[in-house]
Amino acid sequence: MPQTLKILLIEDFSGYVQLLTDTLSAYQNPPFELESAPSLKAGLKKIAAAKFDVILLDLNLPDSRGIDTFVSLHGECPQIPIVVLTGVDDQNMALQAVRKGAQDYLVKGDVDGKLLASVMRYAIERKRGELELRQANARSELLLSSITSILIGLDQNGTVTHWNLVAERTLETPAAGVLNRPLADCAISWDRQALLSALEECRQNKKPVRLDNLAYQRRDGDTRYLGFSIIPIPALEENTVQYLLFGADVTARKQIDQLKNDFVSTVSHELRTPLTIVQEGVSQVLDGICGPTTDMQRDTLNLCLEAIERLARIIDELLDISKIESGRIAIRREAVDLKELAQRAVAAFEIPSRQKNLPLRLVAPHGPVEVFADPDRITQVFTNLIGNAFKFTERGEIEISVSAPKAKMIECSVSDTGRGIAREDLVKAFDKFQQFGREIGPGEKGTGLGLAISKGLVEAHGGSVRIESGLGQGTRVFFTLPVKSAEELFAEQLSRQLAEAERNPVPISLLKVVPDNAAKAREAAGPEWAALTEGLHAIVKSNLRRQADFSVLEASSGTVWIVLPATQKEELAAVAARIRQIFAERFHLPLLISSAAYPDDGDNEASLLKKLEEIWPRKS
Amino acid sequence: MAKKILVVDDEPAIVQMVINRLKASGYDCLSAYDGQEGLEIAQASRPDLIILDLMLPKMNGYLVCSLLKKDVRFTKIPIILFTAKAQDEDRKMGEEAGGDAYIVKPFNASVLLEKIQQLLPA
Repeated sequence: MPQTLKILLIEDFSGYVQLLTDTLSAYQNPPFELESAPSLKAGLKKIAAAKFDVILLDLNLPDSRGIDTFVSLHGECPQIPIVVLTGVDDQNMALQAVRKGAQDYLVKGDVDGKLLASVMRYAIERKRGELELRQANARSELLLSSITSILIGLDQNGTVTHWNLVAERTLETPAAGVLNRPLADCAISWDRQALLSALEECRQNKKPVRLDNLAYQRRDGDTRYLGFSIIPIPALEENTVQYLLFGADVTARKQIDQLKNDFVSTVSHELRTPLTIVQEGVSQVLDGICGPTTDMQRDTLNLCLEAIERLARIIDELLDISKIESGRIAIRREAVDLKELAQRAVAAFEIPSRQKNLPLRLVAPHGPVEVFADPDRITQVFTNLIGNAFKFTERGEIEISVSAPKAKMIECSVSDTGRGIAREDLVKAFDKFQQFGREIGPGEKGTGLGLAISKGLVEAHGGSVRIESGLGQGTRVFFTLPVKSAEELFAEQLSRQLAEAERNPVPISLLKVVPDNAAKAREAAGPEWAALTEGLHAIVKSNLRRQADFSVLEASSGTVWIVLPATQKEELAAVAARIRQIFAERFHLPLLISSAAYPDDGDNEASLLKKLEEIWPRKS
Repeated sequence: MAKKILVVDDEPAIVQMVINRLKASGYDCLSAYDGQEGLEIAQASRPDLIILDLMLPKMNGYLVCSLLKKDVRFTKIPIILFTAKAQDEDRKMGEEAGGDAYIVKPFNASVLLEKIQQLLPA
């Protein structure tokens, strides 16, 4: 038997109460029980005393009129469905009540029993659905809020849609301050550029992106590091994507990493002094400085010396990997010919090439292949790769290739015809301490750091590495280096320093130096032009004192771009005057020098570059 | 007459090794084990060349180097900075202090001797 519906009718006109009671009595499926109250106050009293399934409410009562009647009642019992009763003229007000949460409304004159019964049943059903939905929402909200990660939701335009409690706490920013605003505009002192470029990468590749060690400066000045996973999620509407950012404060982990790196760095460093003593002592005995030696003594000492050299290499590699991992690797970029670096690396392997009867071949385009890179570090990469190739190849040949620039990238590779690496091991090839050829025999062991260091060095240059191999198929390791114009390198350096200044406010000074009337000067100089522009760059470099100072020469126009971090605008004039004077003395030519300083002349890249195009008044 | 070289390093074994090597190549040698002693010996006996460690007790090598280089009486004495530090920043500081050459430990004896020959006036 169906359950009885309990109805409360709040209506001051007793005639209407009677009418409804009569009308409803004809409909007993489900059976109902109608109670009535003549005022809001009386109605509230009944609700407090008993449980009702539905309320029929007249908006105009002796103690309350209009929409307020509904609002007060709904406020008292939000879980009970309410159907508003209204006159023909009052439908607008009834609609208002529906918007505020009433389940439905009925125009008093039109009511028949069938309609009333079905309206009430629907109202109850709808209310139940509404409550269930709200409970489900509350459950998922609870789930989301109990996640101990930062959770940030973005829509396809990068506008913040979710911002959980952990995000509020970790980023010291309440949800109200960021919701419905573009993430890019949120006033949070984190490495915005890194975050936005990771988001952009996620948007383009439609794949999850990991972002490690995103710097965030807390209100108290403390720097914390956050790790984020950015996950693209297809949205309800077609062709749109939402993004979920899961994150956590990884400062503690980073500190442990830092501790480990410092430890490795200190220990390696401390090892150098005793190593120097042992190496030099053994060398001196071998060189006969300490008196005559027998052949057997010399053989023994030579073995010691080889071991010492190996130890020295291991220490160097440990220092390198600790610098790479802590991001403190110093890359001193200059214009270099990659082909020449490759040739030099090949020449260094001439002896093992002959000893092992393994020919070394260099494949490169005609003419120089110029990139802006650290020659020592790129040579180290070539040497590591060629060294590996020798270690794991018994017969065949080793080929080194340098490509011509393609799509602003140069690709180099070192390939061998050796034992190769099993496919399942390839993913680990660039990890630390990975060795796949241990069984090859004594004297061939390394630290297993060579490829990891090479990868770190290439990535520090903005390039990437990959490997192709299979057991018995030889190995080919590729690395790419970006080709950039002087102006691009300058802009890149500037934006890096601006990002740095955002975290740690320091002034930045910029200079652009070019021989006056460059086209004419170039014509007049003829073949001397290269010497002149290089001379200018050398003068600039000799006037830059700090490690972080940056300069780059664009050879064809003779322009030198300079970035001086932590340099005040006032100091700039002195630097410029010195460069101008030395250049005039050496080349008898005037210079055009323009300058811009952050934050005095602008706080972003565009405004600073614009300022830099304005030429200083020339000295007479 | 044999050229006179001052070796300053707080590690006695390193000083011993370097002096052995230099004597074998026909140089006369002086030694000092901290920065202050190094500066005093340099001022008192005017060596033809100084090999100077950077991390020294009492007075660091950068300071010894720049004090000597600023003094007209000693500014011409070539100084080889000698250190286990291979950081770029240290090299730059060494250049700023006026060092004439920079050799990193563990050192290669023939490179050291070559540098000395280059820097010593004939």
